[in-house]
Amino acid sequence: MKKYIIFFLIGCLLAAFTACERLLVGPDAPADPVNVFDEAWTFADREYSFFEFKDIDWDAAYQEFRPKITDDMTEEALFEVIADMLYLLRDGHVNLRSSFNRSRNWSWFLNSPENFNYSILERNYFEAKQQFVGPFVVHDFGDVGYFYYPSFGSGVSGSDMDYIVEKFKDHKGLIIDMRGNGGGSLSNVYQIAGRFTKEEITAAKERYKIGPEHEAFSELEELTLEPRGTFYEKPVILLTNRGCYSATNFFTTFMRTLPTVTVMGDTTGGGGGGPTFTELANGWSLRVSATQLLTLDNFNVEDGVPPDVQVDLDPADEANGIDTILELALEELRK
Amino acid sequence: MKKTALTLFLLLAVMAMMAQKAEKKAEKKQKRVERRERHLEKKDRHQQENRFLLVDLGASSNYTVDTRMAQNHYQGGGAYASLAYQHEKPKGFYDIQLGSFTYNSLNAAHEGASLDNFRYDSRIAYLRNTSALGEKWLFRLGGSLDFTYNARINYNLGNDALGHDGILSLGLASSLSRELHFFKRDWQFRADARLPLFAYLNRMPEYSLSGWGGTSSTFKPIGAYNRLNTGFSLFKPFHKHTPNGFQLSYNWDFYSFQDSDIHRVRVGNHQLGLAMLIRL
Repeated sequence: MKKYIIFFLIGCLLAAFTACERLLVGPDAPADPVNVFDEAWTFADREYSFFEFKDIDWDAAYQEFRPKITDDMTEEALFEVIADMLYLLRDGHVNLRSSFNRSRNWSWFLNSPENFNYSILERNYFEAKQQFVGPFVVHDFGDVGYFYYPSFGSGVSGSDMDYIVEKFKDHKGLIIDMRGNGGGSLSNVYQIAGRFTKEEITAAKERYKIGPEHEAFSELEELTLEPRGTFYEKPVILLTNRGCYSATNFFTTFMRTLPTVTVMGDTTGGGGGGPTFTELANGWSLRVSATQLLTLDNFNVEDGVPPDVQVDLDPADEANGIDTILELALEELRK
Repeated sequence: MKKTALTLFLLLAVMAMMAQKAEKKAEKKQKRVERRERHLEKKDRHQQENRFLLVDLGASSNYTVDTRMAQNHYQGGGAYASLAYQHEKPKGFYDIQLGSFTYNSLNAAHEGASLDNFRYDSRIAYLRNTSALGEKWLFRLGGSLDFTYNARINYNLGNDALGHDGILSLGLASSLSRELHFFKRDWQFRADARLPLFAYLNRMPEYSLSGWGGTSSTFKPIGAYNRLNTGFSLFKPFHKHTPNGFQLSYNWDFYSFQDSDIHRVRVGNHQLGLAMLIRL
């Protein structure tokens, strides 16, 4: 009988452990509109890295938007209020994502000329003779090489780059067209840029948030670019527009430091902050920039990297099927 | 005269050599006896000791809160596989978990958010027998060095998709066991509990991104890092005359710590398993 009592007590203990766990964990975070709003504001307040740089009064944003939150508002209405508040950060890396929408601020791109028309390239320049090498659209202009890379989200392999370097090594130069490339993975940045340096160089500087205060940053750390595979010796022209964002902004920052590279076109769209993420109590995810990228002379590239040669796509040229920026690049390399 | 002296000398030399030989023989014999005795002692000791390899499979359930990643509480279940070695000596007990791998699929209540949980545990514990609870109950007390790597992947969180805790801890271990007879069978019941006193914790940084700021390592004493690991098991030999057997076990592990005023981690993991014990 005694041993059965012992086992009964052990059973009770097991049940107590499971119940205890709930007590130790504490209650689930409330998913009501007020709490979700507060979580979003607090996360941005602690993690966002450009309050001082952009001169944003985040407390004033709270005062402005918090009164718009009510307990009985719909999910769509709540999303809209938080999205409007986040819009003040003027940052393409700040997004609120739910199952029904993704908030964004694309003013960095939409308020500027597009400076890119792929249809013109395809119809009037490639003439169906382009090659597809990995993620690249490659074209041989006879004496000048060209490749277009639509997204850093598409993986670049060493053999893709080997092929391009080998194919155009005896040409007068190479045009890298990054226009409209909205970013992706930084590993692809190093894979491509590494072909255009002979030796390891310091290409940029960065710092990241280390505390909740708006100016709590780590020391500036140097970012180095190491050579990868065969070095491409000839001149390179990198074409950019305001559609170049995030990883493309990193790439342009790196390439601009190289002596054989000229950046041509428009200022990049920016996006110099690496984004950090969280999930709010109602399941929506939120990301904000948490780092800062600077050039070697401490220029913050959050709002974009200016080109060495500023040139826009002339509307009259565009109407006639001519890519002004590409034409200028070809002319420069053929000199 | 000279001849007599030489003969006497040779005789004495031969006698001395013979005496030496006899002494060596006796020494060898003595050594052989000692060796045999040692071997018998060892054999006897070995017979009193039990060495088992445990192959354990089972189901798990998990409750996770990591507010650095998500405000939501996640819960779900999965499976685990474990390999362990136990060495029962006359005076103590080695409990070595070579590796336990657990996978849990966890879900939150809202928006159908989900994450994958991967966990690895290993342990070296030594417990010394005591006579604190009389003859029927065997109470053991000792120390335990535990390592846990607990990774959570939330695919919605881009750069921060991977949240992890790497924990190396040192603490107290205890075990209570006794022989039982019920359902007309002989069983051995054991209850274990481990309480880490110090922990070295490695995880993603409190601010920024793990890819930028690297990982953050902190030393946390009990209070800053709390953990309790408890388990119950019932062992039964396959047959009366075989030492191999199977073991039913239940294990509950709970740990918690706080990064800052708003970032906290609470993880509870339950395992219900069936192990095969192979005597080595």
